[in-house]
Amino acid sequence: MRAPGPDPRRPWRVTTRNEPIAHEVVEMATDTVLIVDDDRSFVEALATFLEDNGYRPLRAVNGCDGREVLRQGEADLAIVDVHMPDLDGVDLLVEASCLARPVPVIMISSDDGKETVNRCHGAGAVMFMAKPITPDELLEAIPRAIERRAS
Amino acid sequence: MANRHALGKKLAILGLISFVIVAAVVESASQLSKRKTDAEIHARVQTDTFRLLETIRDRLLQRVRAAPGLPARAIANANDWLAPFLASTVIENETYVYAMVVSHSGTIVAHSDGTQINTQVPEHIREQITVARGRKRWASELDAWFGDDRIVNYALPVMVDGALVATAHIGVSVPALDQQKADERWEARRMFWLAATACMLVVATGCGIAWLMITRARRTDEAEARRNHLAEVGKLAGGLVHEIRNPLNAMRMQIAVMRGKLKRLPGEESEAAAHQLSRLESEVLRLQDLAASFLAYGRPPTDKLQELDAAEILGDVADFLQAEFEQRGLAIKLEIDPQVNGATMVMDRGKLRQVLLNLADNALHAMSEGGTLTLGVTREASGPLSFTVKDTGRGIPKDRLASVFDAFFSMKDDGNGLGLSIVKQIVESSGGTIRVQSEIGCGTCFTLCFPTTTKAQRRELRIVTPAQPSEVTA
Repeated sequence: MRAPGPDPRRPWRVTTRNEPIAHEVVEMATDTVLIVDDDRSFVEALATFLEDNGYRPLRAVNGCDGREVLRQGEADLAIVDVHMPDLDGVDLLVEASCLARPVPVIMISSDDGKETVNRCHGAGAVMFMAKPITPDELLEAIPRAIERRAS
Repeated sequence: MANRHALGKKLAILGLISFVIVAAVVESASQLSKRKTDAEIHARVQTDTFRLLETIRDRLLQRVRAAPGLPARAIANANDWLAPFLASTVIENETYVYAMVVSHSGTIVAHSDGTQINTQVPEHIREQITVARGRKRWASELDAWFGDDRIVNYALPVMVDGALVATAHIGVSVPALDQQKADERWEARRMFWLAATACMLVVATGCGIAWLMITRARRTDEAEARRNHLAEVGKLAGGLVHEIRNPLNAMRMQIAVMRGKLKRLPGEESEAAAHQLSRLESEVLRLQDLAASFLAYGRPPTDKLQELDAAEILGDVADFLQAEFEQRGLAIKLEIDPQVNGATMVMDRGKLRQVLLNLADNALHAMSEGGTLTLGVTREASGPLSFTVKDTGRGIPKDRLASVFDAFFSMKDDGNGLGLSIVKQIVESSGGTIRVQSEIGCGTCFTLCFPTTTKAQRRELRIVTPAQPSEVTA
């Protein structure tokens, strides 16, 4: 006599179906990258490049816009220029790490002096890259940065 | 500076004007008082001359009284005993031309110049005598000619018992007198002019020195202005280059995107296009390189000083280059002089490496058809360290050798020309010197000289650098 309910030794149920299993399109979650720099063409170029390589770029051409977009919470990673006229990149970095879901930030700058690098690392930047940025370098860095946040 | 110059000019002009005024005043005062001085001199001459004439007269009278009888006789031989006195009178005073005694008949009975004895006096003097006779007691002056010179003839009558016996004459040369007057006037002004000339010399020297200093200061100012201008231009250029870097970076990103897109397109044309794209990318890379070099050239050195072992760093560089040189079929030789013996120098390690690698890179390009690079270090006695980077490449022509360290001078087709100028800047700012020797077809040799570590430097480094673990365990 079979007991009612699921069998405790085999809690799962095996069902057979005759319909073919449809192809499941696995949609990978695309990582959203926020780019903040006061040089518009640079932002555009980075955005195009990232888009071409499967990321979803968000553009911000000044610190304030960048802050707005960060607060919307869609970014998985932010690439922020240190020296911006209206808002210091490091302030943005601090904000990013204080969000409910903290966003890893790669700081970029043409100034690769010790103080700048130390300031960025001290404020919690995941990485510092000196301009000019090689395309390959960037492609390698992004997944590493996103991983670091996750860990 | 301009103020000082203007002030100096004003002072100089003021000084000049005041000098001119004072001189004019002095001269005009002298001219104005000319009459007075001349009159004084005239009066003095008169007094002196008449005094002399009176002496002559008194002597004559003495003789006349002494010898009784005709006074005429006493006078006739007057020359014998009077001549010396007359002669000396004329000699003593340069304005006197003659001194004589003339008888009432007009014959010269005594004369300072002996040749005139017993001659008749000229007409005008005889007239004077006549006049004197009339005036009896008054002396007189007569303007006359004596040869070519104007003279004044002073005459004094010699009266015995109310009768004119003879006249004594002294001739004063007018030009000589004028000269004397002028001399006297000059004496008064001589002091002033001496003082004035001295002052002028002092002032002129002062002005000269001031002018020299001003021009030198102006030249330094100009040189400084030029330097500032150059610095400004340099800053502008630096700023410009800095601004260029972002667009160049953007270009690289866009090129990467294009490459990706092209890869996804099929066909040969896309391959050709990809090839073109690579060429474009290499130009962008070249610009990025140039920008980096330029900014490195302009950046002040921020050195991290260390004590470096000469042999060790050379070996390190040789190892680093080994692979690349082998790949191109070139050999590297290391020559470390035993005299070096662990000698050290103080310098930023990265910069020394940069210098040696740059020179090696140049050597590499020069030896396109094989050769040997020799890295050496020697030391003379306890002198400075000498690094040598020698290659067996194509060499540098003698006429280009002098300008090889100039900025933007390059022997390569694609060189930016800043490499060696950066090398020179680094070497010289670290207290070293760099020299180059080269021969076409044989090769080039760069010699870098650095002073070895001094005790003071070692002490300073120990203070700055924290103790290394090895030191602690020891």
